[in-house]
Amino acid sequence: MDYDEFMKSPALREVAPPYQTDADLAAEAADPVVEVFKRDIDFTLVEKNLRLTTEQRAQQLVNATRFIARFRPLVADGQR
Amino acid sequence: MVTDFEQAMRVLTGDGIEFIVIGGVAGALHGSAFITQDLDVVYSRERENIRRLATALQSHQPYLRGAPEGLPFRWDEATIRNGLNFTLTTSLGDLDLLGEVAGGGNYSDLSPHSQEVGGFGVRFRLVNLEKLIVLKRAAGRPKDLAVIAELQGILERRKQREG
Repeated sequence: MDYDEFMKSPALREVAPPYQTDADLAAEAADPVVEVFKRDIDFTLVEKNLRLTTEQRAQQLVNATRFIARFRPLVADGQR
Repeated sequence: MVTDFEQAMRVLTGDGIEFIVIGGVAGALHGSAFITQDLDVVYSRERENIRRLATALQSHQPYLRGAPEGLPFRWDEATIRNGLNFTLTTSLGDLDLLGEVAGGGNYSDLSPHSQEVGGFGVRFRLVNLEKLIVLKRAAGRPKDLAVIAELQGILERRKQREG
């Protein structure tokens, strides 16, 4: 049996751990480190973002990066 | 240099390149409040797609980010074919073109975990939130811990809303 056949075969299921979907893996919230980080996240900003459409979130990102691009050189100049 | 996301997305989608947006931009589009400065995409390694990618970015001065100046780097089909993941600086800003990504595999592997969305004035494929968390976890970078925590929170809120 070559590699490709093995990957498709029932024999793999016998040796591999049960299949986990992305949702399962993503929801593996048992990570205590991530839980600690969660306490410091400002979810009021997230809630605000979740009320926007994807298009509006994209525009928000564009606006934020343009703001940075415009003012970063001024800040750098001021520090010289 | 800060990436011009609108222009970069227009260049990539304008030439019909097959790619999926991942990374910080994907996070922002899913509702993250973290601001990112580069654009990360997983691109298809199909021959025609590589040709399109080479052509599309040719006029935007792609160069290896962080590499010493003056290297004989050429952005063409052969370079893309011989490489896999490229972290580039371009006149559009910083662009990471990934043939494969930890936790997500290649374009074909990732495609079922993405959806078409509208943003930046164009339509493109965006990795779904669940997979984005998987990718961030797989990257295993300490700097991503806060991002993972936030994305996890977004996922929980989304599930609550969906009942």
